[in-house]
Amino acid sequence: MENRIILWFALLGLFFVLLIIRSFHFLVIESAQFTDLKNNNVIKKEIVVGSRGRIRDRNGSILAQDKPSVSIYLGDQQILEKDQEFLAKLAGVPIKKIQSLIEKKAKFKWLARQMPLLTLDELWKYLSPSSPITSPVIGNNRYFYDHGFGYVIEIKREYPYENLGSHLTGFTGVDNQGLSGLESFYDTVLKPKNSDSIRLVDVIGRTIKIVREVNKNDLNGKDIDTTLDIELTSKLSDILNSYKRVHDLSKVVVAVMDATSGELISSYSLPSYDPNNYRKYSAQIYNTNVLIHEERCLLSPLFLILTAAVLEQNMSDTSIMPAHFLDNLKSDILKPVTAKSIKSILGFSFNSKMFLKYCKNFGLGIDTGVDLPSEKAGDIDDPIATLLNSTGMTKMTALQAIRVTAIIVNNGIDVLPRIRQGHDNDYSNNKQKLLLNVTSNTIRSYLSGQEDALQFSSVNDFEYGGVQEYLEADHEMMYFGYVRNLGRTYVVYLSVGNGINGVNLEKIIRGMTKKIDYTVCKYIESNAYKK
Amino acid sequence: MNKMKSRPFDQILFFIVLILVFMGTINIYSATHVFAYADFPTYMIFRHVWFTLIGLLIAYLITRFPIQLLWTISGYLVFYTLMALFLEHIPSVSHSAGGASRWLKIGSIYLMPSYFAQFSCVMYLSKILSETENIARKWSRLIIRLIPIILSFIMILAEPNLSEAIILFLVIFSMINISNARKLIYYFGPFFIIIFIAITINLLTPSYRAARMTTFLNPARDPHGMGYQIIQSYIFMGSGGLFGQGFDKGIGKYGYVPGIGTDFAMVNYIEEYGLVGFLIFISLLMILIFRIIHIIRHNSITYQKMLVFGFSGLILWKIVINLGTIFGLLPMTSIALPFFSYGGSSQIVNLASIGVILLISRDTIANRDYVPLLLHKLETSLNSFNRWMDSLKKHPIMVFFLFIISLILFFLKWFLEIFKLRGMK
Repeated sequence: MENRIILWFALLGLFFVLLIIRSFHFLVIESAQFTDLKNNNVIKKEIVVGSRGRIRDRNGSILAQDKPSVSIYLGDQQILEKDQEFLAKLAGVPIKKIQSLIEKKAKFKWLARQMPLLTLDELWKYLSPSSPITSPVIGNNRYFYDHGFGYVIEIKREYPYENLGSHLTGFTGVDNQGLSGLESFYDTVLKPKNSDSIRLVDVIGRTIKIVREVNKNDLNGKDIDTTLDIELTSKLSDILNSYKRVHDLSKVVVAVMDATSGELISSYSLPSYDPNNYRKYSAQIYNTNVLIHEERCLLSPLFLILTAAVLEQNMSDTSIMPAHFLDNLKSDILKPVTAKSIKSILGFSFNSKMFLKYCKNFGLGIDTGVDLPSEKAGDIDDPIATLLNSTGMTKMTALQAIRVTAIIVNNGIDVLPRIRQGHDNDYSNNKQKLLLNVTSNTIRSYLSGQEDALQFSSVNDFEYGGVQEYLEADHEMMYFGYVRNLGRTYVVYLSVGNGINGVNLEKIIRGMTKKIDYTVCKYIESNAYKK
Repeated sequence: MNKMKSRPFDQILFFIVLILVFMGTINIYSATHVFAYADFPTYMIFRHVWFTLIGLLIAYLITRFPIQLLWTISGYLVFYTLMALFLEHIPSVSHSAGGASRWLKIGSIYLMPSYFAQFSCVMYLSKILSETENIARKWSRLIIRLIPIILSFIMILAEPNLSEAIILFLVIFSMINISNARKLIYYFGPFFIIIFIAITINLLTPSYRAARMTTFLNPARDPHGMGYQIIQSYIFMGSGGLFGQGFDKGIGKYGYVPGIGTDFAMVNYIEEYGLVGFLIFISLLMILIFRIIHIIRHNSITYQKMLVFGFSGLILWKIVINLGTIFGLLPMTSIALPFFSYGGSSQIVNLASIGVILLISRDTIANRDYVPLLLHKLETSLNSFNRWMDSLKKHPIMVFFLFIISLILFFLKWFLEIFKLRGMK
């Protein structure tokens, strides 16, 4: 009997040996593999993405911000006809497109992206009381219905002011990456960071333990405060739109810049586009910012530089002076400036090379460094010849021309245009003085005394003035002027064109500048005592 | 009789069992507290501890029995447990779940008669197998006396509870095998062959059990169905590595391994304590087995040997099948791991079985032959405890009141929890 008992226990011992071998196999040899499998089960990694930084105007109004949106996608199942009709209506696409998508073999097909969040209401109303089947494999915020389609909550960039300032703010693509304007230029600043939050989860996805927690706010991109004033832009846009409507203008551009600081207060151009739906517009419209992308042969800024140069050099070489300009030079306003006085201050004598140097000092041929992408630099090849023959050898962008005007009216102090406040490379402490005060004052007086200068009845206390220029080839009229009071000087740029000869653009631009300057005057008045 | 009573029981075995019970309790707490009840993480461990205490009390009481009492009551016990197995099929007193009637409902307590039937069958079988030296002359009588056991086996099968029926069968088989009546196995050979053929046919037909069998052979064939539990147990057990994740740091209990508090309790233990923990567990079992062998070898009475072998078999077969299942060596069956799995009836019966073994150990010759000095001291302490308990016997009314008060406290807390739960709903 005992032998048999021992035999039974021996068999049991053998079984335990088998168990130990088996457990060694599981817990030592294959442990790493099992640990990986376990981690796949229990460790939930989620990519946490912060919000893209907001873009604000100088008063804190939001120009661009992130907002949730709905995107519809199709699975690889067949979709009933009535569902197809519903989807077509919901997404605003033809049924044929849906049918062609259904025929594709892919398991995931986008139907429409980044639609308003309200779209969900319609979707739920249609599908009710069907409950969504979540698909945790793909990611959060993604739901799939057994009807064969689903939706994803995505982030979309929202531009509450739509067309206003759109050429400056620019826009982002579907993946929320800056494609144009400030959005593109400051993409790295605005762009949110990504991080993995790691949790241990139970079998139905509830959190057991947070291994790595991520504060979403820490991942948000930095906000950008711009120098723009959306209210002023709104008022200016009203003026531009009304003129465009009445005179059938093909192109209207306005820009206002603080001549002292270089801050671009407002910019608006027509035709404009709504960055919320930029795809509806041609790339020509949303990719072209007339302030920085169009290089023109603009003579007025060159005249202003030349005047400054002549005044400071007391130069009288008539061979390089256009006839109508010489008339102005002969007037009394030049008398206070003598060659001696200039030489003693600047230490050089004027000649054509010096004029070229003046042009360079005024920023021609070099991009202004404004906070916008792909700014053109222009060209300053032989500016004297350009002035004399208008051959177009020297070209500049509108913003470069605005900068020239700003330097002239800002007592000759160099001005760098900018859109972002709190600039990393603050130029204000290191500004160059390019002209004597007397030169600047003389030219400003010259501008305000021009025939083209505007006359206001209601705001006579303000100083204002400017020059007009007609670009015959483009049938476009431009105006470079300034408005000054209470220590603030604003440069106003206006450009009007309709592509048809014979229209009296001069008359139109006079009317527009009057209204615009008046608006800017009022703006200065209302903001005079603000910090 | 008095002389035997004064003898101590095998304290090494007792301590090994206590350690196993303690380890099991800690493991059940770890495995169940996360999902016991949202507001009552200790709900299951509380119940388990309560049943463990009852089991220990019963075990202790058994150790105080005269062995002759077991001999006397075994027949009655098997009769009563057989009745209980019949009662399972009466809806008013039984409780069914998952298509099986395995529980008897006594107030708010659910008991599984099959466990008690196994216990009584072992006791009864020990008696009839050791009743006579020359059993071969009384085959017909023996077979007639085996009828209650066969009926119990059939009734357990009819619950249906194949796993427990298999355990009973294995225990009976091994007991008969070591007895003088082992020729019975040959006589019943055709019967076993028929059962084997029936089981084979059953397994070959597409059914739940057949699926379990094929899953055991290749769990990856149905990873989200039949193979899910076993694959998950491999994964979480395997991730334990050499030293495990540490107490309460296992993840499998968060719903990944179904039954981790009951049949798959060892998965949680191995995940948390690794290979080292498992080897400790096996070592304890080995010591337990050596003590059982020691008790058997140093006992000259066949009946007592049969009792020790039968009751140890009742525990060890469960351990074998449970561990064999979770390590993929055997087809998946629902067998609770003694001392480690959550359960009321199971824990009580296991501890009662240990109680019987300890009782027999009292009658073991030189059971202190190689008790180390330290254990001897522990034994002395336990003897003082025994003396204290004996002194309590002199005041039975006080003991009775203590028992009643503990019962009241238990039920009060239990009812409070239940009412609170209802309130939650």
